[in-house]
Amino acid sequence: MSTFPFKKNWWKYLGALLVIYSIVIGTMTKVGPGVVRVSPSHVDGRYDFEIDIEGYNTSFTKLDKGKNQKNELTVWVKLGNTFNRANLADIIDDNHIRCYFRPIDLIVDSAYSQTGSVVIEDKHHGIFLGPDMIHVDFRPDKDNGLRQLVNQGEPPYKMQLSYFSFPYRYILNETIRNLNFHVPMWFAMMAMLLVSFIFSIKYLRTRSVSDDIWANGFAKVGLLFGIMGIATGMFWANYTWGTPWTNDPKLNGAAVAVLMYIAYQILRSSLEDENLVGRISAVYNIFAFPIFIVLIIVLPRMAEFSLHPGAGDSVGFNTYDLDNNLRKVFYPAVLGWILVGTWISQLTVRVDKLIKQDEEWYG
Amino acid sequence: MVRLKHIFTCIAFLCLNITVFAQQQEDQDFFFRSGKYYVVAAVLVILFILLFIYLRRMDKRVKKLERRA
Repeated sequence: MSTFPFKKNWWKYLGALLVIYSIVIGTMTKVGPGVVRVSPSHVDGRYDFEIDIEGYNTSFTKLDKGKNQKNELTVWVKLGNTFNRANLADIIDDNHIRCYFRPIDLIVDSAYSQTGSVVIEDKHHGIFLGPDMIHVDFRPDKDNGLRQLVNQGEPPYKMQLSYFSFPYRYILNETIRNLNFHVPMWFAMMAMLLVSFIFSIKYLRTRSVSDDIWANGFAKVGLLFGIMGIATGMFWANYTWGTPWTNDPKLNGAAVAVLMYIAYQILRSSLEDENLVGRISAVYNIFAFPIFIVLIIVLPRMAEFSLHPGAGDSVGFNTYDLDNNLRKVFYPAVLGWILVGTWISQLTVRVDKLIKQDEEWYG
Repeated sequence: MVRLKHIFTCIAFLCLNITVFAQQQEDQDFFFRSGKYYVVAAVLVILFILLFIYLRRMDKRVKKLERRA
């Protein structure tokens, strides 16, 4: 008998620790600077042009305005793989700069327009960018058929911010952190329901009441995570998509999935005979789980349009998490919530077993 | 009594002031302020309230068990 508390239940401590880590780091980390708006968003690349850039979480006035400005603030318009450096960047206030560009010369045969990103290097923050924010037009120049890229500046050294931060996303702003709190709910739900599914199969093989109770315990906590995911998602959506509920395939799938597992609980409580409860709910659970996976993963992925990442034409993780900082919080959060969910399931199972025992003894 | 009345009137006027102030800020909902940071806070609160409700229900079931024993 060891009194060392970590020996047998180390995973509970680990789970609690990971959840605490994800909440602390997920709320404390700054959201890095970003580009909110570029105006005008359409410029003619053949002539001198100027653009106003509105930043988020930027602190341009802290930069030196003197003659050393060149080392403090550099702005590029990135077209394809070429970086076109601004001649001059005027600091207006903390969140606004005005940049002046020389003509961008490209060798083109026909009228041509390209979408470019704005890349900013700032001494305090490092390098950040506004992806696909500016359209540059070119028309062929008959007089000088062949022209060179005259304005190609030195590309930035490394596309990275100089400190640990979450990426800035337009409209999402600070709520990008919710990725670490909302999405792990669904991962935890899937894990809980998978375990419940396995116990249901095991029950049909062994017909042991214990397996049935385990399957039910995990299904209950899976349902809890589903409700937590929907509630947090609706609140988040209300302030980013503008409405708590849209006709998104993932939303509808999740709602049906949650209803399916509520039905599972109702089914269990509606049957009297113990053997019948076990068998019918095990069969229901075995059928419900694959449908749940189809509803929540397969169908949204096949959908043509979804507001959620990873479906149809929408962007996923990779496109905006430049330095993988979200992942450093997200994956521990997923593991942490799965472990904590397992812990709660175990508690539920223990209580259920005691109740069962109590009923057998006292009737 | 009269003094109480005065106090209430005072408070009522103060409230009026607050509502006027709120109307001025109407375009900026509380949750839209500071880069929507409060949305994150609210999401965490929702998470823990739901977790708490679940644990409280389990707590009640254990209590029932305790009474019967």
